[in-house]
Amino acid sequence: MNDIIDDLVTDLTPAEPARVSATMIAGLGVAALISTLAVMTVLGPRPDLMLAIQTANFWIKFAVMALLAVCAWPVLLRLARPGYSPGMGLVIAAFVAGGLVIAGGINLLMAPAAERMDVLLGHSWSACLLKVSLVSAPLFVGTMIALRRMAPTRLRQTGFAAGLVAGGAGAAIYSISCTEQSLTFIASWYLLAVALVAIAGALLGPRLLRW
Amino acid sequence: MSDPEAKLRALMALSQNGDAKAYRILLETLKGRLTAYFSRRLTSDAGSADDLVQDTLMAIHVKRATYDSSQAFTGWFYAIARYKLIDHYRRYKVRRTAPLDEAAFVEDMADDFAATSARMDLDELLSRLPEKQARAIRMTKITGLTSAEAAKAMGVSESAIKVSVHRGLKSAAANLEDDQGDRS
Repeated sequence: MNDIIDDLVTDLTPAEPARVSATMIAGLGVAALISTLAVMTVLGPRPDLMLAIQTANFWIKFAVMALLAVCAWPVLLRLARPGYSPGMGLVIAAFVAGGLVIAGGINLLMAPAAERMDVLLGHSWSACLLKVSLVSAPLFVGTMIALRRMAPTRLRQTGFAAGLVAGGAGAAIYSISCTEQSLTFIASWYLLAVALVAIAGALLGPRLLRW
Repeated sequence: MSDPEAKLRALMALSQNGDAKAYRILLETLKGRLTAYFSRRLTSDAGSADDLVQDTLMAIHVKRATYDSSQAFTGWFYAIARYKLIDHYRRYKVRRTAPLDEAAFVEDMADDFAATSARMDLDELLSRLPEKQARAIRMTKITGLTSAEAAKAMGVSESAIKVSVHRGLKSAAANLEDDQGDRS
């Protein structure tokens, strides 16, 4: 039994403290580059991008999705190492999502009854679910690779937070290509897509992050 | 240096710098703590507890860079121990439930249930007989005594037992027929 300690002592080399945020940013950053390139080349930016960037809805869509990722990010950094509580990030993300749902609901009620189905379903709700997931996938992989170099001990929560970061960032990147403008559409389909990526993260976390 | 947390933290700092002597002391101390931690939680499984101590020491070694000197060392350390314990439970559960045939399990449950409800019916039936007959039937037909043994236990003759059993079964059968007549 003692020989394991002998082995470990023999194997000891000075250890630089892990640079968690640098590693994680590298993992996410490389992946974000890949996702952005894929959106720009494969899907293509929306034809009216130059006009759209002058509208508030374009930026609201981009900012709210990015905000979900920003809320989950510190949680991910904390959970990457043993002995830290997750913090409040996921709670704040839940409030952001709740606020978005309320805004989307009000927008739906204020629309003329005849247009409500259009406001809710847009013209691409099924494509939105699929494409947000696809754009998020590289981000999720990059985050997972970075996390595997750390030592997360709450794998389900870590996977969920990683999914939320990847989903939020992926949705923000995808919004370059998406022509949907209604707040209701963002509150329903975008949010659902991000939630699916986060749930996938929670399910995959225990398998992918085990050490 | 009497504060264990401060002591461990200092040892860890030295170990991070490559001090083998400090590292050995640290690992010996942690090994003692881990042995206590796992054996308390896996009381009936000393082998697994030993494996987990080794596993966790190895994990601490491999992931030692993830300790940040600004955080509590014991928090970092026990988070890893707890993780290894949960990982063990998860694997153990998978191993234990994998070969379990759900159909066989459900069947067992059904058998148990049938046996229990039959026993309840029988009790109900016997409760309607005179005490002496019910006891005789219980002893000979359920407990499995011979008539002679039952006679001895009840302090009566063997033929009295046989008569009780015979009469009892006859009136129980009659009662049962009445019940079924009522129901249909």
